[in-house]
Amino acid sequence: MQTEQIKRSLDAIQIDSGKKEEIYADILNKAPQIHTKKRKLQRIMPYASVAVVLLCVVSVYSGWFNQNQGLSSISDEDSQNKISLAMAVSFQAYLPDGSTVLLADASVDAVQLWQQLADLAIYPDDIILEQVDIDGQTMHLYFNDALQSADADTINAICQSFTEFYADYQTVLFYTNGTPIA
Amino acid sequence: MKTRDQAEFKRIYDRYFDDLYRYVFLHVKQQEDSADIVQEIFYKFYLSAKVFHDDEHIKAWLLRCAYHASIDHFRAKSYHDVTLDELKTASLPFEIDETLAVLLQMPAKYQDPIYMYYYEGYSTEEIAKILKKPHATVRTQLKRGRELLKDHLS
Repeated sequence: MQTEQIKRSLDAIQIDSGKKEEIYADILNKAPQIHTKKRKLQRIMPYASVAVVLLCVVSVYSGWFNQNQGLSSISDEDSQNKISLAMAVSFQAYLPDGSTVLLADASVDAVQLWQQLADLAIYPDDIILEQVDIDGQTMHLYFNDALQSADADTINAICQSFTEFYADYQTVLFYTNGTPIA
Repeated sequence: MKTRDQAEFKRIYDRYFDDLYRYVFLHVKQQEDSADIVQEIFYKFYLSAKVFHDDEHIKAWLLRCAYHASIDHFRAKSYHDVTLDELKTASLPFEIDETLAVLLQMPAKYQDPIYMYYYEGYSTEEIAKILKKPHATVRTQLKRGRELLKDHLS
């Protein structure tokens, strides 16, 4: 019908002149801040790692990890929270092109972690981690059907990243649309 | 973290900014919010490590991001549906004619196929792929959108 009319009417929608360039400049100004943060983080990381190792050595010699020492007062939930906090570590995300990105404050919750990755546009935004099941020493990660249509490099990158992150589990299995990924 | 080549980013930004803003404004109907959403989408594109086959692939990806961002905007607690009267009193840098007024008031589910079919020239199959909706759904929504337009304009 009115194809030309619809096009003409929609064509009218325009942004204020000057705003487009302002937004472009904002994007470029915003980007380096991340780089600076990352560079700072990379500088700090070796020192932080040494500090953690020293803390562990001191704690072992001081007997902080001795069994039956005050644990009776800690409920299961509390202890789980403590373990979770201790596990809030960095996540190394493999990209489809083989490079890696370090996420310093990764959540131990896989779904939350996926959201963090989505916010940073690490992987295609249409791929969603829908559910996580833990069965003994096996972790099952269920993705939506968008993973099925992703290219092999992307699938490999996602699998490698999560397999390494959850290396404490014997097996990490990936599913898309309910079907295991071969 | 790697970013896209700046010259290449600028080329894509210049090529698709207006279309993306148009699409987002059609849904959001507020200048500031639309500009913020489009900025976030291009920022995401700038930082994204995703490899694209060609410009059309980029455009489809940007439109899908805009589609999701618009849905998020509707879900936000602060969401306020802007009425046509409010739009007409807002200081917009363009005029709202009769057709645009109908398009702006149309439910988002009809705006998407109407915009993509008539303005961008996508086929219903392509729209279904971009929006990740069944082809039959897109065809039905396009048909209803057309009927709405006809009813209001006749």
